[in-house]
Amino acid sequence: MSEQNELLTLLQISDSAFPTGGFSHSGGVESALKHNIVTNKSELKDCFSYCVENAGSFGIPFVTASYNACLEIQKLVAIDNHCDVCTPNHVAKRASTRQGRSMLETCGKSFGNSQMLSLLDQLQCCHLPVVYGACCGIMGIDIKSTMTAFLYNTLRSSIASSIRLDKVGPLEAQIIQTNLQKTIPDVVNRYRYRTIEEACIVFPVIDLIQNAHDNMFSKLFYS
Amino acid sequence: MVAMGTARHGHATVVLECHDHCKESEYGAVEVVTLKHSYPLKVLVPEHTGNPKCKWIFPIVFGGGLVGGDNVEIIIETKPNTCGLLTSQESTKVYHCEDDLLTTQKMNYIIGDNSLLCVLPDYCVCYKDANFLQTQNVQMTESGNIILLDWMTCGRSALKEQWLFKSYKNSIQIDVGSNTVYKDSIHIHDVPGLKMKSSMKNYQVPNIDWECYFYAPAVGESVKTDVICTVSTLQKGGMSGLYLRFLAINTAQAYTVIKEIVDPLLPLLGADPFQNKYG
Repeated sequence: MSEQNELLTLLQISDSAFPTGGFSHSGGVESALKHNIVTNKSELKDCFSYCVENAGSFGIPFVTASYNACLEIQKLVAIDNHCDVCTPNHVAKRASTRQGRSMLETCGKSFGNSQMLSLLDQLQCCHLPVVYGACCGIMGIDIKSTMTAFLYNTLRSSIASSIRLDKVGPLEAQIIQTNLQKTIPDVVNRYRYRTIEEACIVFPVIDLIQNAHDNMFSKLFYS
Repeated sequence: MVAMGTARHGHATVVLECHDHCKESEYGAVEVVTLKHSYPLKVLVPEHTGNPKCKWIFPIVFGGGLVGGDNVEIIIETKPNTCGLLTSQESTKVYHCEDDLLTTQKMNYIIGDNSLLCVLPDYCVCYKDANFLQTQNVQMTESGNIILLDWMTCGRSALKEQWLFKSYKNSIQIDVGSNTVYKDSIHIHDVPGLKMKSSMKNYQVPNIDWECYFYAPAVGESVKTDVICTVSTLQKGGMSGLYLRFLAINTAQAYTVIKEIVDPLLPLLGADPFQNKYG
């Protein structure tokens, strides 16, 4: 793929108009606010960073593995199943499989790619990192851009959820985004060579608090 | 005499077997058929602990804890129709590690048909500069059962030593036959720009993992924030289980959740391994 086309594809799949359902998930931010884990702006910003770090330490190994195996269906199925086994947190599992399935379907249909559409039937769980890596691999997007975009999406979605929870304004959110996304290249470098056996959670509190999402009586997000 | 920092490699193996003819669904009178341990590990298996159908196992470490660079490995096997309890007399202390030393603890649980292993230890506490790696592997059959508690605290909080260990890496994996049905890996440490201390807020007892297979206690929803408890159900390849985690401001609060799980087990265990420990 030419550099320009690669950029266009990446812009398209990262666009908030690309319907993967990312905006119905807060990645634990809503639960953290309700449970008083996050009580001020500084803690909110840290909370976004924890989400990005966990997406790096846990998600990036799966993105990389499925990117490298994007043409081998059996391997992808095994990676997807392993991702499922490693996600006992049912809220995280729900967030990951719902977004993964939507992403696979949207990519398959919008790019008219039969390979992606057939993956929809073959993958048993469709976890987001696995689907993300596989789709970008199939479309020939560079691996480093894939990882960067994956983490960008994680950060963007959690910040966006706090706008809708009325904790930050839209412009303030962009200032936070600018500051926090500077760490993304470092996060990519920390985890880019990790195997799926090494995938782990670095900040368990945000993961645990996301797990408590269903304990809340009223909620705006799915996770 | 062993000086601090000298590497020690301890191994221990305990095998439980049932000798009477009991029904498939029952636990029989249990006997220890293998008991091996090497320095710095020692394993105590008291003769009488309440219920003759449940064997209590206490591994202890010379020096009162794991010295920097220690490597210990424990294998517990429950043969068909046996019931065992792996517990402790006090918390597992992981002392500081100098230079690049790594302290490791590897637990292997092999669980036979219709047997039950309860792993109910006291919490793990990592001292300042501790560098700890713990792996717990469960190999079980489809009719085996495990209840596994794993919990840690921030450090010696009375000495204001909170979240000052170097690294705490913990991985728990459950295999049924050749299939992995559960894996949970965490690695708590500081990363550039982000401190584990601030991520923990004022919680001192986080990351308590319970994996209960074939066991479903009633756990109510918690809205208090002194202790936050989460529950997920696990369904994989015909196996069912419960994944319960909590976050508590102190061990007494953590124990309110632990008690709910342990209480229904008391008739089987014969006594409470946490009696008079956490109020």
